[in-house]
Amino acid sequence: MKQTQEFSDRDLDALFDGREVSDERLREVASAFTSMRSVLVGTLSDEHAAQMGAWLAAATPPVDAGAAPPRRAARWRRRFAAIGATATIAVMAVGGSAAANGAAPGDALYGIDRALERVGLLDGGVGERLTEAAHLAAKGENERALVHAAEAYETDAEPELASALLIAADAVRKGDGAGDGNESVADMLEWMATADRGEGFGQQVSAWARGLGVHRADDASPDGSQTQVPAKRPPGVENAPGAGVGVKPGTVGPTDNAGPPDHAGQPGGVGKPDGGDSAVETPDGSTPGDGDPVAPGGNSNSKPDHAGTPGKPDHAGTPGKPDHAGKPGKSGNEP
Amino acid sequence: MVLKDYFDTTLAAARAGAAWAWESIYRDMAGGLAGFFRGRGVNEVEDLVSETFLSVARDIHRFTGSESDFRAWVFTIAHRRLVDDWRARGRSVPIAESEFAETEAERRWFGDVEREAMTAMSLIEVNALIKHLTKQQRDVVLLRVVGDLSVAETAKVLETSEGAVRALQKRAFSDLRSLISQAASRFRDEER
Repeated sequence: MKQTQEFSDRDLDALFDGREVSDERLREVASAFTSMRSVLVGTLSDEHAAQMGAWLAAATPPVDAGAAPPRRAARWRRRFAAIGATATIAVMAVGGSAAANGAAPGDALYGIDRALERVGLLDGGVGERLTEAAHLAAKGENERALVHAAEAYETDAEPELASALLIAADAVRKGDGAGDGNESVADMLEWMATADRGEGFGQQVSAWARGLGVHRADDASPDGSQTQVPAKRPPGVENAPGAGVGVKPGTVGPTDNAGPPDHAGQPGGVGKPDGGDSAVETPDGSTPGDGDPVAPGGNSNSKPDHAGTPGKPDHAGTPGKPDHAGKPGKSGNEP
Repeated sequence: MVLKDYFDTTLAAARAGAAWAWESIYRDMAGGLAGFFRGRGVNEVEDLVSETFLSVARDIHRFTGSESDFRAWVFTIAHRRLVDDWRARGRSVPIAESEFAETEAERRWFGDVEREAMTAMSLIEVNALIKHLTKQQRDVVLLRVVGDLSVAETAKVLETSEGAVRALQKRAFSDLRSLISQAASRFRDEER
């Protein structure tokens, strides 16, 4: 405790360490230091810290890379490497993320898509998950698609929707052989991805999703609803291959004046009244198979090109036709 | 020094690329780093913090030592980044002008408006104090007070001796004290 000037090193250490100081004369500066600390340091948001954690974990080189040349020699190389990494991230943000953004589960870029979303470079969110789910459904993987969509709502704190979708997924798995679920699942997911999530959205989706399950359970419902529905849907089917009608199910209504506009316009509205009419979607799925002579022709025309690029993300963006691609594909498989 | 007993485990997990480990390291040190850069008048504080952590992540396999060593190492990287930043700009960045400081305080990334409002001194006043110090004193004060480093750790970062750090903190203290007592009326003493 040597006493140069007025204060001991120990006192000053305590002061700079932010410990309690006993000396009255130190307190003014101690108070200034406290202010300095709180003003300059600030606070971190949990979200930001989590994002940075993921980012840094991704930036950590694999363990083997540790056995590297000595520090001095490596310094400049490391500096360039850091610059390179920053540049890579910048480039990824501009170009790569655009490519990765459209990726659906199972695609090569999908991991990158999710990683970038975690870090915050891409948007992510329910909308994108739903689009991905729609791609899956277009490929015929209905169950995975529904589970994928359910996960999206799970993380988005909408457990009712998530459970409705999981029930639907279950139903699809059980009723696997029936074959016509493809279109309705893809339709529903696509509508969910594009529709506004306003009032009643949840109920419509729940009703629709449960409808899938109900229909699966009693496969022999085609009588009443089937006659009613084909009246509405076939025009849509005819329009489909040529014009990109299917983007929003809602647009089907306006294009074909045949059906009651409100009915066709809001698929959710279709699904709402009771469980039975959500079977609305399914009977028309089965129509090309049994009834409608026009549709199979049109579909077989459209089939080859869809078959060429089944899983392409941008494809689904075009006209929502992937769901039709799914259907003919199915009916093609069955014979 | 928040991690203490968990430091070795956390460091090992960070080396293996575990996100939780990096998150806790980041939580532990990002505030201090940002405060250090901010006190030195850096404009893009968050950029430098990210760059510093990126270097840390890339070189983590080369690091060995205690938590104290680790903190000193991270701030050494930060200090070098700061020097590089200055050179890249080709000018010495002054401590924030008061007008800049005001807008800076508003759009602050780490900011917590409520908390700031309640502290005895504003960012402007704090910057005025820091500005008063010499460059070397400033480094010592910021590393010791804001960066929460010990005398030994500060000496490592600044590549000097502990005696030199103590001498600098002593001079910084007496300068600050006379400055504060001159302007005593401006600061309310609510902290202690």
